[in-house]
Amino acid sequence: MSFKIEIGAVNSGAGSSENSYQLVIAGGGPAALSAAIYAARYGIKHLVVESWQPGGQAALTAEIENYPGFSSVAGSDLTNAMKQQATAAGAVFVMETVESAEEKNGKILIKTDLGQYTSDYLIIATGAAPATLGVPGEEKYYGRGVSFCATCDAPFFKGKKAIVVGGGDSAVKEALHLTHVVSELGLVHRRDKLRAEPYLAKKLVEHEKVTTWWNSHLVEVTGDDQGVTGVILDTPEGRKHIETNGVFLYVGTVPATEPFKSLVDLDGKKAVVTRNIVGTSNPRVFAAGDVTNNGFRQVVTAVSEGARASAAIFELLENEE
Amino acid sequence: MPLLSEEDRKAIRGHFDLMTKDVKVTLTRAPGKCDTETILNELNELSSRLTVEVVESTDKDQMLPSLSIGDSGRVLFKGIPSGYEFSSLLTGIIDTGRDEQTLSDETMAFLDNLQEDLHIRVFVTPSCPHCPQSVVLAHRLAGYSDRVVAEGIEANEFQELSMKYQVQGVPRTVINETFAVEGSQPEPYLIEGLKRHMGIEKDA
Ligand SMILES: Cc1cc2nc3c(=O)[nH]c(=O)nc-3n(C[C@H](O)[C@H](O)[C@H](O)COP(=O)(O)OP(=O)(O)OC[C@H]3O[C@@H](n4cnc5c(N)ncnc54)[C@H](O)[C@@H]3O)c2cc1C
Repeated sequence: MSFKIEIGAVNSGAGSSENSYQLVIAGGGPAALSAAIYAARYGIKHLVVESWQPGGQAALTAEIENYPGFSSVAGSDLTNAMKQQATAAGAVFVMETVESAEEKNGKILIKTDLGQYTSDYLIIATGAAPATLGVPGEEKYYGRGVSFCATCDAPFFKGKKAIVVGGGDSAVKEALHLTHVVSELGLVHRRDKLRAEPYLAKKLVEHEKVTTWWNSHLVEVTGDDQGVTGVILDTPEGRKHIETNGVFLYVGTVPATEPFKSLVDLDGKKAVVTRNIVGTSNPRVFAAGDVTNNGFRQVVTAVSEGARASAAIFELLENEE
Repeated sequence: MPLLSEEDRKAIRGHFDLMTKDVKVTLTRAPGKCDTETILNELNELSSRLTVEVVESTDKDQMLPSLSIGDSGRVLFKGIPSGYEFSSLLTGIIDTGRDEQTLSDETMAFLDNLQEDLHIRVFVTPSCPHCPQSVVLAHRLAGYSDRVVAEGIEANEFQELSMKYQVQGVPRTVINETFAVEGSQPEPYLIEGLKRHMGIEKDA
């Protein structure tokens, strides 16, 4: 095994020693990393606040094949390269979670679990978290067979049975990833057709290890004290109990906007409502990537929006001088 | 070719410069060179505060490679600290080399009043970006209290142990065989959960 290194954000613990910035970037996924590269190169005094290791959802996928310049790249390699590029340009990261943000005396006051910062501008790039189904057993068996991250947890299902729920790009990609390790894979989708890229969808549906359950809903995850033992599906042929060890859920995402709900307008799905792509209802606040209502949630769109947001702020700061 | 690129070195040096105390990392490994030793030697070059000691072990029952950060013998990592776990190693070194306390007052009070020893095992995989948070927290608890031993464990490398502790997702934190949490829990949640499990009242 080659020794792979992700330096990530090293949590210095006590928060950043400085607490006044021109720009705070909330999040550390592709949108934030791109915003950080541009902010650093523009010489904007900034801070990137990310809860975990930078990379976001893109770091949770084994393979990205549609990011221009790379026929195939591991998600974490791509985001790690972005992180390194940002660090080399002078970007500053802290490993903290934004808990709230409000406007105070013409500035934005950002409170995290470890500190607080005031900033002239804020870019919300907190992306989205996996949606849950809210069915019995889902929460109980989380980490005991129920997973939202095939890349992290696939090794525990080597030679075992698993099902994937969902029909979008991420469901199909992660299902394909799982076919390399599991003995059998069920795919449960509420429609009769996958939304994913046709090429990937075909590859999955035709895979010898894969059984598809169309027009079906997962209604319960069953298990015992060892973890998941099966799922109950609502299928066109009635209720079915399927034996499985793993349940991987890719049933959509929910924008991570809780800390910002009083600062900017959100739509009914909790996404930040944007104007001119990266502007929000608050002139001091910009938003980029999966957290917005811009649609088409991809790495390439997230990085483009992150860049636009920093460029827009650079222009505003220039005009203020 | 070195494992660390010039850019990596620069970034790590910046972090290591924050250290105000000397830190020893002890690697126990099976006979023969290993990547973990190579990476530690490369790290060693980046700070005069860091020293690396290598111990060879032929004990088949020992979990190897094994890393102990600092002199306490309580801040441990079992397996190769690669992928995202490399940042757990770095943070562990930097934390140990600094005087600053990062735990909250509530957490410190809880640790000060511990009536029993805690053995924390955090199961991780190198491809899990959420995992270092849990390892770092466990290491900090052990760094603060001599009643706590914290091990980050690379689950793929120690499959029997992972099976014993029913690891089917990472991070999974198991404390004293009896208490387990899934996912990366922020400090206050972990401590609250642990207090409830130990029957300690919230405001006690
Ligand atoms: C399994 C999977 C496979 C995918 N495959 C592809 C693909 O092949 N090609 C492609 O283009 N796209 C793919 N995507 C989509 C792509 O990953 C996302 O569109 C992209 O990551 C969005 O970037 P972002 O920066 O907007 O948000 P995210 O990637 O969601 O990053 C947001 C970051 O903000 C952090 N955060 C959240 N709340 C807070 C807070 N309060 N304080 C601090 N930090 C916070 C999060 O920890 C996270 O790191 C995939 C997604 C998944 C889940």
